[in-house]
Amino acid sequence: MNSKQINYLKTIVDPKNICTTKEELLVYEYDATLLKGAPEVIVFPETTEQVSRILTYAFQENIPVTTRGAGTNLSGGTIPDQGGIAFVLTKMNKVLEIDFENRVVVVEPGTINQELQDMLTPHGYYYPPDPASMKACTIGGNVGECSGGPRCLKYGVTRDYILGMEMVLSTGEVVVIGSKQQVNPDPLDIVKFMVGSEGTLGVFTKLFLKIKKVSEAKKTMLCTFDSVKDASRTVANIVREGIVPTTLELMDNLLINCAEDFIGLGLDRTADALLLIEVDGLKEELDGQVEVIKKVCEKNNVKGFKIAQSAKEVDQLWTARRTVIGAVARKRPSYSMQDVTVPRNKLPDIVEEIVNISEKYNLPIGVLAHAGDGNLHPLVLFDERNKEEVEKVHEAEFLICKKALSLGGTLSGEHGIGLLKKPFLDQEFAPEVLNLKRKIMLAFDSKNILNPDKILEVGK
Amino acid sequence: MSILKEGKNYELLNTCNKCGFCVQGCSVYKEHFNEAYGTRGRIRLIKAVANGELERTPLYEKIINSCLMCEECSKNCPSGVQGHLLVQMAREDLAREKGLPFAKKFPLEKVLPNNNLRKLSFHSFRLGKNIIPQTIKGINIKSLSIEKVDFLSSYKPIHKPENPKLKVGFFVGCMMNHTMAQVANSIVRVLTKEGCEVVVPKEQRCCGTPAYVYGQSKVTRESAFQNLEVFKDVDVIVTGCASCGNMLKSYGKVFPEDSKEKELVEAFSKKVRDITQFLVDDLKIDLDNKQSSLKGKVTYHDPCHLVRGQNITEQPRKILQDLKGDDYVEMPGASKCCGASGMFQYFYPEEATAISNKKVENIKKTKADYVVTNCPACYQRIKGSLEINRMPQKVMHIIELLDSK
Amino acid sequence: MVVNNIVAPEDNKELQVIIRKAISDKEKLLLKENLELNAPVLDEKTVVLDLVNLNKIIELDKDNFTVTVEGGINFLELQTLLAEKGFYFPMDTYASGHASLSYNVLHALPSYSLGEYGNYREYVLGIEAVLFNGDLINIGGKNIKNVSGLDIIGLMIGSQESFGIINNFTLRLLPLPEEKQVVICNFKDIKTAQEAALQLTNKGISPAKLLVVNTSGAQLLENTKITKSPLLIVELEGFKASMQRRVDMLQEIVMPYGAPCLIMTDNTEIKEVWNKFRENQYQLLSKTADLISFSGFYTKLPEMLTELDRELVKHCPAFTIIINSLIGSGMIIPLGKVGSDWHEETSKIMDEYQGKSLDKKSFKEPGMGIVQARLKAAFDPANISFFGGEKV
Ligand SMILES: Cc1cc2nc3c(=O)[nH]c(=O)nc-3n(C[C@H](O)[C@H](O)[C@H](O)COP(=O)(O)OP(=O)(O)OC[C@H]3O[C@@H](n4cnc5c(N)ncnc54)[C@H](O)[C@@H]3O)c2cc1C
Ligand code: SF4
Ligand code: SF4
Ligand code: SF4
Repeated sequence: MNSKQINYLKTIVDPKNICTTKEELLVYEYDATLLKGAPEVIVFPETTEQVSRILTYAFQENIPVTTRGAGTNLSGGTIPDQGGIAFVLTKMNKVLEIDFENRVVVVEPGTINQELQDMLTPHGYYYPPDPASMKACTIGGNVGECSGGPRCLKYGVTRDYILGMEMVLSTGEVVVIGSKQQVNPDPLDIVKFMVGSEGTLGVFTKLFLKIKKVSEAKKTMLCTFDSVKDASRTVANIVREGIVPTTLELMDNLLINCAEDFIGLGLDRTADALLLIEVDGLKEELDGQVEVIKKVCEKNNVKGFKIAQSAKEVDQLWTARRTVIGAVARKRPSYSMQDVTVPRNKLPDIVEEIVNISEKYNLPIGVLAHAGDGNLHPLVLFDERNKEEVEKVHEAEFLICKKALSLGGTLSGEHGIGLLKKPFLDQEFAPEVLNLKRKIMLAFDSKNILNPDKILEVGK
Repeated sequence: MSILKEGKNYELLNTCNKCGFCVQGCSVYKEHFNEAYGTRGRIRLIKAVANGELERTPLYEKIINSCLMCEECSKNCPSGVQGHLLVQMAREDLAREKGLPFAKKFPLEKVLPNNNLRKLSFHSFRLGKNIIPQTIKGINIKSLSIEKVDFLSSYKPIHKPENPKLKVGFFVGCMMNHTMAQVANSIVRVLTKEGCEVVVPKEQRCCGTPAYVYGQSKVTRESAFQNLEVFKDVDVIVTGCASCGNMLKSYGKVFPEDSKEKELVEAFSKKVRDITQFLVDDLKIDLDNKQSSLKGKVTYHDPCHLVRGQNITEQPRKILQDLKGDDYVEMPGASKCCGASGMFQYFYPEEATAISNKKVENIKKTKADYVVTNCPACYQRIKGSLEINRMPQKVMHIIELLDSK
Repeated sequence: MVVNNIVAPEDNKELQVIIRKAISDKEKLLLKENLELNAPVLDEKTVVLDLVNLNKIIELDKDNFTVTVEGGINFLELQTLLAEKGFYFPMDTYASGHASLSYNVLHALPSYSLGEYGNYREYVLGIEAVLFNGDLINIGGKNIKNVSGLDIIGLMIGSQESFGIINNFTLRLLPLPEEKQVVICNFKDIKTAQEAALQLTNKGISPAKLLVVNTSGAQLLENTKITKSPLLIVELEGFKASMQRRVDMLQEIVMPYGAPCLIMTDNTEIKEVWNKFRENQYQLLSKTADLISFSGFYTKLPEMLTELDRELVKHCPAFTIIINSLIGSGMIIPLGKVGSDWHEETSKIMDEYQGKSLDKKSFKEPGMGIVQARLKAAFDPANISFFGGEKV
């Protein structure tokens, strides 16, 4: 970009919202992955109108625009690898409307997930998508990636809670799709299609979210096992018994120990696997379900079965679960997290393969899984400064992805493709499908300026 | 080689995996919404300097200095990266490589550690106060009451109890010494009443926090030795200042690993207690039969260097809840920084004012009559901010509730 | 009407051949179900696709709770088969008994359970489809979560046959609920019925279905024990342990309105009631071209419905209103000829209450015109879809 272009941007937004210093460019070259790529300018829009005028100009001048929320995504989705504008929506962070009676909330995209939850909780409502990063990530980013979380086995992912949005197309045109009502009478669901579009189809400027009433009661169980196999079999069996828990989370021994190091809850450090199970509903329903779950666990050689007794204990368990990803860095400085998903009954197979790969490459790999969804987060531990090791990590991850696909799985359950998994995409999809996706992307963004060539190579 | 590249420091820099969990908790980020002013960004820049990708530019310096040292990031980081320590290290590096600007250097190196100079400067500030405007850079100067004669200079030992339970050394701290002599006196009175022999060494020196946080560990080390010396024959050292307590308890971090000095100061640190911690955990004072000196609704602000620095949250709340006569309400965001943070308030007035105003908002929500805290810096900042916002609440140091005359 | 071009492919390859031929011969193409439901005017070249032969259940995966099934299978039949094996596919529409799974999904026909059980996208995990560009594609699988680069499945659902035909599905299943009860209450007017319904959505009772109909809508249950009046129809399902309390909570809410309730606990009886309701609604729909679908805000619905019920009589002597109160959306089905102002009057009332109505032809979000045209071109470059056939 040249100085004329940058000066023009300064006529659209307050010049203090345009940054070009080396220091600032450096802190917008990354996200939560190891990838890097610096923007040429950082722009913080404050209104829809500014978003629109900037896109109009970028479209005219063919400038790449990488939309960014909190930059916590795990797929390289906010790396401005083609330079241009880092379009940071953190200043558009107001909660515009909370309508409990109609169960809808209108937010600007930079609203932090947890901060919204904090406004809803006192009224007995919540917004179900709860990525482990909820304290850090924005709703805009959640919609960009179609984020999930522990609760989504029963309550679904971000896609199921987006009723509509105000969005700016690559040309700068502002559109409102969907509405604040619970359904859109139009059967063609463009709104849902925008969820998980990873910043390639448009820039969201307002989001209409559906909220839910908190269930009357819940019960949280902590079960430990001597083998990951037993634990994963338990997962499949519970659902077969007619129970859909809100949560079925699995951690292996490595992660149990990391969580213990950080929070220190007195988890069983010798256990090979741990399941965190939660059921909710009306209070009479829970004891029966807990009983069944306990039986299933026992049939699968459970080592310890414990029901959390107090709200504080439940909170601590959840904090442990939410922070365990980062906590692995206490073992080795760097970690890389995959997001493959397999059919639930294939969990034991993929876990076995991960163990093999870990041994073959001599890399510690921890397994964390939204087990009920078959969504795994294998965490490979290494040191970023050791180039050889980094190579091994790439190979190991490629093998994990390949195995997942051969088991009928998919590359990504909730983190998206971005740049990180782009090279693997042709392993999952036939050329016709990729071609179709390319055409769809061009249908929305004819010049390929929005997060250009993320997900797949679009070209001009 | 720059200290940024040295062993453990560099390791910590490389352990940051950029997960971003620390960013939203950083009050300074929340004023800018720009990564550069959040922990993750600061760490990235420190790493860039360490790796030679970036010069120590004025903007870099500004970013590094605009940190509250509130430790919020360190508490939130699952990976165990201590953001505030990395910032401190970067400041140390800046001080070494570029030197401190005079405005900081003079007070940090010369005035605060020197008891006579310090007295003189507080004294002249008190006199000058009458001819300057109400507020400078958002700091409510006029509300800051500087004692004519500081506590240490005027202190006369009171008679000790018979068969004292413990011999307690009272570490006053600069801020309390010069601005809150009545609180210092309360601390001595309460401790004595609870059966302790209180000694107040006159030669005690600034704990060294200001020097430390602006990268002058050398000065802090000297303070450490002096304090070690003057408190050598007491059982415990008690303080009523969160920041001082935090520093005294962690002197070890300013000495090299495995050094003999480190061992010595760590033994000293083990004896340090915050006043609430000492009363509740060690003396286990009987609160049920005590009357609070206040009537009405009270709320509590957690000083950063108490809640995160020393992990103390329960003890002050226990005092407030158990005392008879007052009515305790929890404040939303009680543990968020008040915005004072030593010289931060002077150098970054806009951010500091905005951060303080959030605190004021939260106080308003509690509908409390009194705001209680446990740190003179917080006390003054909150008091000043409340007055600027024309709010009726009174600020109290927690010991004042126990000292019903 | 003469329909002389019905084709019934035996497998996906044949379907692909038919579609490719339509592309090269520039023929229009639509699913057979439309003949009854949408009364289209066809020319003799139009290809009518009948999926009857694509009706096999390919795999019922008991571990993963999925079923892989061909799209031509009758929706109701599929549900019955699954229920016999202890599985539950909670979507249920007025066309269940008449239309194929493919038709239901491609048109995203509103399920009575929408709201409690979410929408089709939550259940369609994988598809095989022949697009109108002639490609046979296969996406998704048995994975509950999948965000592997743009949600084509989501786009196909509700695309109303303008992008292609889904011929094969992998569906997510749920465990069959332990118990079911249906409660039907007679209200004195539609307003209070709707008010009661709204309270029910917010009390943790979690009805599986929650419908309100106007008096004429009560005819959908003709020849049953039900008396004619505006009705609130509630289906409760779930664990036995909490059923009684849920029924009690329901009655507590309804009581102040003085609405008498009929409680059905017998599964066969419940099944019959729904069969009747579905069938009658289907018959009504197949006779009209002036259906109005709408949605509204929970808080505004009671007033909005009252006004619709009162004012629309001027433009059509009898019409049925059915609302899914879980999501605040429904339809107005005229019984007989409507006056020329029927649509206009409805829009006016909807606007007044910020409701949204879908007039049948609109397939466009304002401002998205170019995007949608380009989308369509990507899927259907030769414009063979009978629907949404605006010029590209
Ligand atoms: C430790 C850790 C744990 C995590 N746990 C989970 C988890 O449990 N579940 C889960 O799903 N994810 C998880 N994530 C991933 C990440 O937090 C989510 O993807 C999150 O939704 C990203 O939000 P963000 O605000 O950081 O978005 P960003 O990273 O800034 O952006 C994400 C994508 O959305 C696009 N985008 C952002 N805002 C807009 C907008 N306004 N308009 C259009 N496009 C936009 C961007 O271009 C980008 O492609 C985790 C991440 C970390 C580091
Ligand atoms: S300092 Fe810790 S919390 Fe912050 S980004 Fe780095 S690893 Fe995450
Ligand atoms: S210490 Fe406080 S101000 Fe400094 S980076 Fe950490 S959170 Fe931000
Ligand atoms: S005194 Fe106030 S400013 Fe200082 S650490 Fe404490 S809370 Fe933060």
